[in-house]
Amino acid sequence: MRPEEFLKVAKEHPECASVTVPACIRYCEAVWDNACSQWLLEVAENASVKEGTADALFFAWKTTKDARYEKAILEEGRKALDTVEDLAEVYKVHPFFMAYDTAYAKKEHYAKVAQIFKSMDLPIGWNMAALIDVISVMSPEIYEHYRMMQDLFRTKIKEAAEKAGGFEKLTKAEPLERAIAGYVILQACENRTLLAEKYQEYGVALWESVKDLDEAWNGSNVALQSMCMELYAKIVTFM
Amino acid sequence: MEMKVMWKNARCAVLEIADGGIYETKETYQIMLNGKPYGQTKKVVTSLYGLKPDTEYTVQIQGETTKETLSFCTEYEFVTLNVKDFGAKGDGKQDDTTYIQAAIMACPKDSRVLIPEGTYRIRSLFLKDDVKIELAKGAVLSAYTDRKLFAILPAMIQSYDETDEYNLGTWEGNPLPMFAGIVTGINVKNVEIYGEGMIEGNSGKEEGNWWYQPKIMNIAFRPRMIYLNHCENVVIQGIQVQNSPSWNIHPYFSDHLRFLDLRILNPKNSPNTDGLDPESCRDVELAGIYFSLGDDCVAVKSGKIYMGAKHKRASENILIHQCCMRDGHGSITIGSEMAGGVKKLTVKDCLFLHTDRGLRIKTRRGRGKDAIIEDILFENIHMDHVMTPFVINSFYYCDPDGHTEYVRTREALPVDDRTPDIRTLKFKDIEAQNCHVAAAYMCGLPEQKIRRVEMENVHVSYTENPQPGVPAMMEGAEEVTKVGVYAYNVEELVLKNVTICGQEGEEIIAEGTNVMILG
Repeated sequence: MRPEEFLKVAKEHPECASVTVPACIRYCEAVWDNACSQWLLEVAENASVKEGTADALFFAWKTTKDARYEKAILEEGRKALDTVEDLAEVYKVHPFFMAYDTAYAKKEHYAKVAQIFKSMDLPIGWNMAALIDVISVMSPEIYEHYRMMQDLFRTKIKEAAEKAGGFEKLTKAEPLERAIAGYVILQACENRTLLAEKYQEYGVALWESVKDLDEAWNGSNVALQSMCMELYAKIVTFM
Repeated sequence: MEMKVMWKNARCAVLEIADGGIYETKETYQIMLNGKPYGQTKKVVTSLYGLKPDTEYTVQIQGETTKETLSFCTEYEFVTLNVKDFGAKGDGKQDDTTYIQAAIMACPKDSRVLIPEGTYRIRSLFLKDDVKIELAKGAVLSAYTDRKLFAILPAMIQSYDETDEYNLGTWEGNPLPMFAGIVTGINVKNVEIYGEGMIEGNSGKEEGNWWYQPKIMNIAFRPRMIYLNHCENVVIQGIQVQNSPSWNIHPYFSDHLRFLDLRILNPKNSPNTDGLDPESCRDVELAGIYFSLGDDCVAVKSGKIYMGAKHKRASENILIHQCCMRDGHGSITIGSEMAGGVKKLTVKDCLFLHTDRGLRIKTRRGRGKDAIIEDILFENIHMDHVMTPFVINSFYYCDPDGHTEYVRTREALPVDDRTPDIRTLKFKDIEAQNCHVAAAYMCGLPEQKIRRVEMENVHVSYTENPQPGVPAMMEGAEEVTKVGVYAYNVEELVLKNVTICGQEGEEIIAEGTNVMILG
């Protein structure tokens, strides 16, 4: 894994920040990298929900404890409330908004967010990735909504697997879909939405099916490369 | 005057001396046991200790003018396992958990684990089927407060076939990870914990202790002193329980339980130290218990919406009698987690002293359609310096959405799967003196009113210098003093021989309520 190459791609494609930033965060959470963390702090200086980079604010706040970032989280959180129902922007808005709502807004919007996800079509894709990331930052103390989101994910991932002919057949999908599937399965194993004992092997198999693809690492497909970084971070966590 | 044996085992017996007293007898009685002086008592529920197994006893109690005698035989006992023989020291220093646990696990049927006088440092002790644990006089189970020493009970474990789940931990009505209780029973039957000893939680507010930052979950939620999860046939008798990390005694999805002649004590400002909270339990008796603590004395619960909707297990067939509740928030509270319902609750012959509320029902929109409260009877209760004797609050502003329009609106919303239902309550032969805030404050939902409240022979009077207070924790309720009976959205409020003396303003303030005054 060569994070410096990923960073180069990320810097060359600021229009893809909504996928490169979360990838970098996951990577730093699993395997600390100074260059990646430095870049995330730079992103945090101008992070916004609109650009899908607001997650960098939480990273910066946790890393530096600089009150400026917390203030920015509160501002972006309030702005995010205006766009939470925009289904075209789910992956940009929702993991950040849920983290904000959990930490700062007394979890008042759990019911609303749960309804939004319930109303969505959720094949394997960015919205499903958003769903499992949202579950990861929810508090189970509002259990009915937390549990509804978990059950929703369980239903949707199994529907997707059934459509493919089984979990083992997910490795035949397009590379990006494979990478997302691998990531969401391992993330779900980590937050106990799926039983790791039963499903981890599928996540690992999906990693194996993408890790040696040229396009996963050569900068030609930023979305795929970002998702592979996230998937790699999960592999490191499990192994 | 009548006397009966409420319960006995091989080593002790619990008597009920019914001379018309409430918690305390009307006079002091001298006790003779097999012809020899035993002591004296002024408690309606009185325990006799130091008995021998399989032995006939004749007990006579003698008052100034009355005398009563009865005979009974103690139960058979096989063996006694003294924890000191297992290595426990009881010196207040050694961690005695392993040794006491060994005695518990080794205890055969019809036998007792004896914890003699001494201070035993412990982490968590786990019960098993058919165990009787005697805490002798002077025995103290003294819990550690370092949370890293406590096992965690996970919240919800999914079954391998993904069709079911296993719930161990719980906090405020939701399946959440918690530390194992100081004494924990999981799926156990036929357990007795009895004696004159004590369980000491050692909780405090200093950093690192259980009451420090109580609203924040630190690794897991705080343990209970005694936690019974899916247990049956359990008797807890005689002991004193104090300084609990959170709720003192928490039976959860457990049946056929008796709690007799206990003392449950916590400082008034201790957080979440409810006394005894039966949650989704059936066939429960509380008798002769003295409560003085920092939250509700008794809170009858049945979970929040997920557990209520999934299991639909009401707390029902509960009898609370001859108890003294003081200093807590509510003497008897129903809710706020009652999504599975609370039914057939009888509270009689009790003293409520210096609590914020006498009967307190807390619910709100969102608890669910299975959150049904019915067949609630309060009879022969004496209250003194209870701020507001009767409170029914359907707008309780708990949980993160507690202050939203959905919870607080006084406009009628459609009745749906989230709407709770308060049906029938009866209050009979109740004297409430020295009240401060209001005689009764009953608020039902406009879309589903409280069905029927009957008050018969209820007399309320106020203290001369009342302390202002908010009668119910709901938006829009302001501090008041000496309000009469306030009834909002009660279908039938039936009053028979109800007197309110000394209120300011109207005796009865009714909105959306049909008041029937009988007799």
